[in-house]
Amino acid sequence: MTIDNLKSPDLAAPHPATADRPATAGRPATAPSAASTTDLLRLDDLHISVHHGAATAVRGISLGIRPGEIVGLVGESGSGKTLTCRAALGVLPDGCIIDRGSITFAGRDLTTLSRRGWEDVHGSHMGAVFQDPASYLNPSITVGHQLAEVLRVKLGLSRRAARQRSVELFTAVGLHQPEHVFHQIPAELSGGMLQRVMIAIAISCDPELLVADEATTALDVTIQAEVIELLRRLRAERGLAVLFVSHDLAVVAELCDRVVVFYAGEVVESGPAAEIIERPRHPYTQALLRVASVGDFRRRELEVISGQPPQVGEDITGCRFAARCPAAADACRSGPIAPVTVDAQHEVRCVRAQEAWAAGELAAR
Amino acid sequence: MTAPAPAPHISPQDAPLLAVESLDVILGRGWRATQVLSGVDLAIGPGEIVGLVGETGSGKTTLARTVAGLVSPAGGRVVFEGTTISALRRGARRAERRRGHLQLVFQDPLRSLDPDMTVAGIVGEGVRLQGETDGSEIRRRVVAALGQVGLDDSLLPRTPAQISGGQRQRVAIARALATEPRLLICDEPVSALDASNRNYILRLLDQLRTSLGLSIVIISHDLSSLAGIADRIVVLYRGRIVEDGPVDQVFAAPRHPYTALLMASAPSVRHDRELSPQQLTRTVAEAVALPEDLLAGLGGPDACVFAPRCAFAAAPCATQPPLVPAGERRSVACHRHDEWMTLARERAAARTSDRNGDRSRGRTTEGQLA
Amino acid sequence: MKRLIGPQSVLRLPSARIAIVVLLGIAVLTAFGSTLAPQNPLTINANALFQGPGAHHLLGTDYLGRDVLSRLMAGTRLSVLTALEAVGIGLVLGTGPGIATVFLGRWFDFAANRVTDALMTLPYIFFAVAVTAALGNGLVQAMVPVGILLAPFFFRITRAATLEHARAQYVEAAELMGASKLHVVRVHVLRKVLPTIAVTTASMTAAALLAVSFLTFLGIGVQPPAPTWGGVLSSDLDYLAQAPWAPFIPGALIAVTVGALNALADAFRDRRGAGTLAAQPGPIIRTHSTLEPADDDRQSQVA
Repeated sequence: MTIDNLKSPDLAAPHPATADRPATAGRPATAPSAASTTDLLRLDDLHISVHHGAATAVRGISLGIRPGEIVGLVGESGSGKTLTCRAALGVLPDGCIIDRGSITFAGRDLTTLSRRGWEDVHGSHMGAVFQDPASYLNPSITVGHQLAEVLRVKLGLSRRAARQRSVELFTAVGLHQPEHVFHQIPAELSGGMLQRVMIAIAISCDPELLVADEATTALDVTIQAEVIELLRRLRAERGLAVLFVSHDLAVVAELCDRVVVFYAGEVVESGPAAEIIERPRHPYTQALLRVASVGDFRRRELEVISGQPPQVGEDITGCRFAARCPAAADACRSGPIAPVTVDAQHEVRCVRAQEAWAAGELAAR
Repeated sequence: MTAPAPAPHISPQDAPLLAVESLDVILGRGWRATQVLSGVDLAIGPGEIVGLVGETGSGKTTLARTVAGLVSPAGGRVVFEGTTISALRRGARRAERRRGHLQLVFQDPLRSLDPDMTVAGIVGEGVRLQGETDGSEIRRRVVAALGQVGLDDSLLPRTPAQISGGQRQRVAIARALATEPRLLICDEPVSALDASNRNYILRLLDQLRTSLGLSIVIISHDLSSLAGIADRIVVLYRGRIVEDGPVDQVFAAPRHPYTALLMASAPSVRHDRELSPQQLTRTVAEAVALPEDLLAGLGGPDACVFAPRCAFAAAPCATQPPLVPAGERRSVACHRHDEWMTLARERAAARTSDRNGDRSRGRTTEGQLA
Repeated sequence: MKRLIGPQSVLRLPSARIAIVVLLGIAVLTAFGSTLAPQNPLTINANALFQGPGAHHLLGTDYLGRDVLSRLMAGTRLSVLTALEAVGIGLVLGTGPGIATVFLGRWFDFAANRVTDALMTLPYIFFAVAVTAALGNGLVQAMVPVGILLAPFFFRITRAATLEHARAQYVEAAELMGASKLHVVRVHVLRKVLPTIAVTTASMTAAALLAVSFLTFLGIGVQPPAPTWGGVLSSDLDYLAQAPWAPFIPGALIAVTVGALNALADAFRDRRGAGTLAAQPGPIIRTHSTLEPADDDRQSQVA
């Protein structure tokens, strides 16, 4: 099932990330220590403004993804998580500008990349799937043809070879009867099958990174579970790193090695998924966990986070969550809050992160 | 028309507010006609919150639209407050609707609220259609309805584009409340909202049930969001009700494999599920291994709707099981509802010993047979 | 309830203001064009054929040496009034059935569409000749067939626009509250279809202006020496070899008029645009989810 020589010779040119990329076997579930591996994708102090610079929507995001790692970005709508991943993909919507910061992918600076450079990065090194697969596919052309076309253009395969490889890829993403699916147009396929087709296209040129922006949001839970399983398997088989964006903490917790929690354009907490779920330090993460459908079916009090998040572009001195925070103190509003490392790889942007209340709050849960 | 038959689960003394009786719905005409609902029986009692769960294409939205009268049933009937509303036409139907006792809240408020109207106009429309012409009385009822959903009158002059998503959904509910309904059918009221807003809306619906004595049907594709609010869960699969029962019992011990699959598929922050989705659906390898005649039977037109995906389908499953009582106030449509759980545990045990340290969790498929 | 179209909000757009100034100018010419004309539009001057724009003839002269500026000014009234008559007839005959057909069931829709098809296949010159033969030759009579032939365009466009809105979910919601068809048309459909009708009217006015000229050429309606915009244009087109620049002058006049009408119609259509939204007292507006389409994001993020 593995498609090992997908890469054409010219694209197989070594670049830093491939060196330490796991060849075939899945990497261990625990994230490797920071020192041992370099990040595949690295965002540093990223600032993005919307409405042609009128409002800053993303304020100093820093995060990294190692080869073969699944990182989840979670947050409410308007928290900047989608903008961040669009910036990494180089497909920011009109009027959005990267004001400051760097995006490095396998040693390349993406913020200054030319059109040509992006053409090389897209597909060959970075794939993407979005929420609504139907709108990314031509409705009148068979999905097989659309995948084969990518293979022919990007890898220079012959018609016959592209066809064969398409069927292999459809098999790899778990599509039943791939030969049959090859000849179907998007309207004949269900949402889950279309998302598998999109994933097949995204991984067709064997990228190192897959960006999945709300890729499972519109799917039925049973199909969502299957797509999550598929992403997990692709990571195991191909060492594919995944940047998974979702507003659903439970989905992120289910799939990801590491979770990055966004709030109002900032990262408020990041760390290993199990750590974030079991020992959330930021009051916002704790609140998110309380309101999220954590996947149990017990009857429980339906909690809400009181208040509204700040508007996009609103400048706030101190912590951006302070207005809604049950534990806000004067120190929270006096000046900018720097991220604190509480544990290995667990960072929290909260002045009270170390205090006992965080643990106590948790115990009360 | 015959007198309404006593519906399942509702004792005679509390007559159901809404009774759906062996409802068949066919959408499209000619070669495109597809049967979307088959023999659906459902009764909603006064003050009850019923969660209607199913995946895309299960017919849950069609059921809501048929009950509301936007779709005409091909068979069966809908009885609301003793009136067979599915038989009403034109003027009589309009008169029934103007009473406003049955209200449908659409899935996407952005589409169901007229973008050119103000909140005042939207919420007041039903009141005006009831024949109320006094401007101050309309305004009073609009403000009262907005108050019930936790909005104040500062929103009145705004259009739907000028309010937030959570507020829009609340305006849609306020529009329904303005006509003082007895039954509220909410089609996916929370699927487009973030977790905090979702809980707010669900809590609001629960409060409305208590304060106004409303019956509420909440349609959702997400079982876990119903856990905190519904009294009863009705699971729909491919146009048939496969399981119906009190929420605690259904979640504690699902009687239909599809309900169990839905529960197992719900994303969880803790990996403590007894069964995984893979243990409840048949893999391609297993399907291929099935005897030819059994496979043909399960793929046949009369087979149980869930048989093509079900890991426990056997020879009897070549015919559609009826929805039969299974325990107090519960019913299930499965030939093997007594056996599959044991089989699933055996499967799980076999898998675990099989796998032995292999982390990859078995290949999934779209779950379809040819 | 809020007014359908707020004139103040429309006037915030500069394009609408310019359009209104242009249309006011045309209105003045309609009323006083022949009085204001610098020369007699009918005076033939054999010594000054095909002159370019100059000091004596600001916009030049035509094939008979007549002053083009004067002809255009004097011709404004006939042109505008006839065009309005034709468009008015088309509007009345086309939009009413166009909206009604959506609500009156399949048979009415079928019949109305077949009538429309039949009208669209009519060769309009013969139709115009036949109608003027029946009604007598005259300007008013000549515009009746033009109006009838414009009606199918109004019908089609109105019907398409109505169909789009008549199936909207808020219409279903209104029906579920017991709304009648009339209520649905009045409250939900009409205001959404009006801008489309307005834009159609603007472009149909252009078509009518040209139709007047062609009928003039055939001797139907306006009698030859009497000036109209379309008449000036069509005679200029006949002498393209002698004066290739000439058609641009009446052409530009027609284009500016139609452009102004279009701009005004667009302004009405876009009245919910950024300009008007920003002026509202600032509510906290956030996108409700990433599930929303992008264009909606843009609208609702304006705070």
